[in-house]
Amino acid sequence: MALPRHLKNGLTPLEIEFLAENEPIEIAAAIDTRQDLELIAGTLPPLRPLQLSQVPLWLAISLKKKHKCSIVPPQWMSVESLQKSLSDEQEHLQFSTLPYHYMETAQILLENACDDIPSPDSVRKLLKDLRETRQAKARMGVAELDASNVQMDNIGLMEINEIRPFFTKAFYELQKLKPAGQALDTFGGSTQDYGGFDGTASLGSTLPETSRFNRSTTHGSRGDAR
Amino acid sequence: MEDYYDIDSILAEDQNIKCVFHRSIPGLAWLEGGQDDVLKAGSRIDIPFWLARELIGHPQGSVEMEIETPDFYGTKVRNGLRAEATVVDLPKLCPHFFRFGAHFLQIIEDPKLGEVLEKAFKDRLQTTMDHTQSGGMSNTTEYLQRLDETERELYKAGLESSASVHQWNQHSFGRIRSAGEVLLKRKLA
Repeated sequence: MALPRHLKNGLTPLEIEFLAENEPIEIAAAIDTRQDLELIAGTLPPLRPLQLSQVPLWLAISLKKKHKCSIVPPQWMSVESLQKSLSDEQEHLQFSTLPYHYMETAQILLENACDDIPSPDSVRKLLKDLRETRQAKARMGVAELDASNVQMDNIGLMEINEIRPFFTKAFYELQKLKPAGQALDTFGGSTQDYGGFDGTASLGSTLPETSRFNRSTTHGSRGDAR
Repeated sequence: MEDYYDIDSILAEDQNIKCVFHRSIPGLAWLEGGQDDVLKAGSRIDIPFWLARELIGHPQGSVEMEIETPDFYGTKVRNGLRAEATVVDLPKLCPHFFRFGAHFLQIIEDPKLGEVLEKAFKDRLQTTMDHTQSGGMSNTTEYLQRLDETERELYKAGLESSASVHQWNQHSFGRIRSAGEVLLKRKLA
């Protein structure tokens, strides 16, 4: 309750970046560890020079900074597949299929392992274009926002997080403007989940309020209590 | 009940509305500011919304009265909202236009008003969101002045989240900077 507002609305971009660092990525190690790597999250098989192995992104970045490996950029980050995603994005109304953590992964890789990515500049440009196209789509989503739900498949975590404070608040206000009778129908059990991030409002809990001004029920319940 | 501690909701309920009492009520004349004891039948007085709500829904028999729809939900405003919701100056009409509307609809049966408000809110939503994307840089003040309190909150929330993602994109998060207080102190010194 007492959190500052920018923390109340869910995750901060830095926290999301931290979460993304747990995603697996392929590296070609330049060292031989000879033994299993025992990490809190699990045990990794030993790294062998010039062999590809899957490690979490944070480990890959850490090794990369020590010049102990080269990172194999994920398939979707190549120029061709980004171009394909972009044209998909522009043609279709839905969001194109990109990994959940695409913005964060791309940013981390471009920042730390720029030399492992072929033509980083065009990758950067394509990612920017993609992001802008997707942002425009999220904006269209506002128009389709109604009192029951809004569907956005394939949207990334960073993108959700960006629109979350605005959408949840708007959603909550829209629910309130619904006349009392209709509001009851639109509350499913699942809508309650949204409340947690908002900090102020649980969408499912307006039931008592809507019936409070229904005179017959007020009379009935008070009468019984006496 | 989630509104119970919400200060905006409390403020919204303070809006005055006109009520016509159908029956004389002893002991309520002070509402009118009169010296008499009895509030006469047929008096038309301004009372805060929260009072009207309690009077009409009182557990020991409700007071017979009629609540008039305020001017700012009248035909003229409704037509304006239907025609082009984004240009209507809401704070001029009622600072808590939508929030009060939600409260008002709970004691008044007026499905048309609900529809108009909902549509107007949605129509304005997209423009509000566009303005949050500009990062507060472009000339948005004119539009912001036409937002009601609810929308202003929305705008602030949207602005903050888009600014924080933008900052993250510019890598300015990791950089260590002097705290604002230190800079201020240096300036003053």
